[in-house]
Amino acid sequence: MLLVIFTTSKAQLDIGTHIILGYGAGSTGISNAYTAPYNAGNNAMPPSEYLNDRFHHSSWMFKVSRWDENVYVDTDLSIFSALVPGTIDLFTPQYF
Amino acid sequence: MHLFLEQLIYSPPNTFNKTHFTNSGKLRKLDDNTGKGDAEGVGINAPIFMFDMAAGGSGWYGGLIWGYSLWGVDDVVGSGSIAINEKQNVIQHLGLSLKKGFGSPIGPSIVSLEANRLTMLYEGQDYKRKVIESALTYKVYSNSDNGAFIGLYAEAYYRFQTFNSFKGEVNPSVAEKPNLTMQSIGVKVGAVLSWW
Repeated sequence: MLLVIFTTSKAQLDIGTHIILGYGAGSTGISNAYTAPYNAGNNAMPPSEYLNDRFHHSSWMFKVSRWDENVYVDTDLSIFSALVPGTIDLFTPQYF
Repeated sequence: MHLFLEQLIYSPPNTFNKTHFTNSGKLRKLDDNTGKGDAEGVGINAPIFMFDMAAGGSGWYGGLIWGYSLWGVDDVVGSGSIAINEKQNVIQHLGLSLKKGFGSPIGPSIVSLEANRLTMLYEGQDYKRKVIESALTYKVYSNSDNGAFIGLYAEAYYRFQTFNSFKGEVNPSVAEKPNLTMQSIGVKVGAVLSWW
């Protein structure tokens, strides 16, 4: 598909200065996100087990950009909107 | 007695099984948490600010990337106790990009390959974790018939980050975190307005 995009139509790269208002969403998978257990009262446990997790997030987007034949500038300001937590169970100690 | 036997039989050394410590905690889904900090987690990787500037010719551009993204709430485990960083951290991005602009059936588009140096900044503590990030971004703008270039915008990105293990003094213990990797994908859509 990328090859098709590369080979179709003549490039028109001079779009000048522009503003973009929009919305974005993403997903991040992370390894070793948490330790389990954190601690168990006075019986400190070694951090021997780590949990993976995944977060989904969304943000409002505001861009001011310029693109002409010789210069490309993209300034992207994102305002955090929402977070959908991952699917794992998180161990929650009660001693803290 | 039953619990003791269960621990004796099923608990290997240095391994924790939540079912063996019935009084030490409970499991709950993250989305059941009511505290804002509980639900924000680590590794959110949401963008905050990104400045991308490049120069070149014939559709090829080379440039600089600088910005920040959201890390979230982190925890640092000590050998004798625990220190939890309860404030949100940010990650600083600083790196280079190679871009190729070309036409597409939708309109002008540009693909960007980035190599960034990341610095995880722990708020309120003098800790930094530095790593390398690889990122691939594709941006496309829809064509406009009136020449004012008012149209639609779409962007897709993939980021791969590897953080080295972390070890440092957190009074009164030694804090440590293992290596971790993050992979992030996302899309952005928007309306393009001409600058006035």
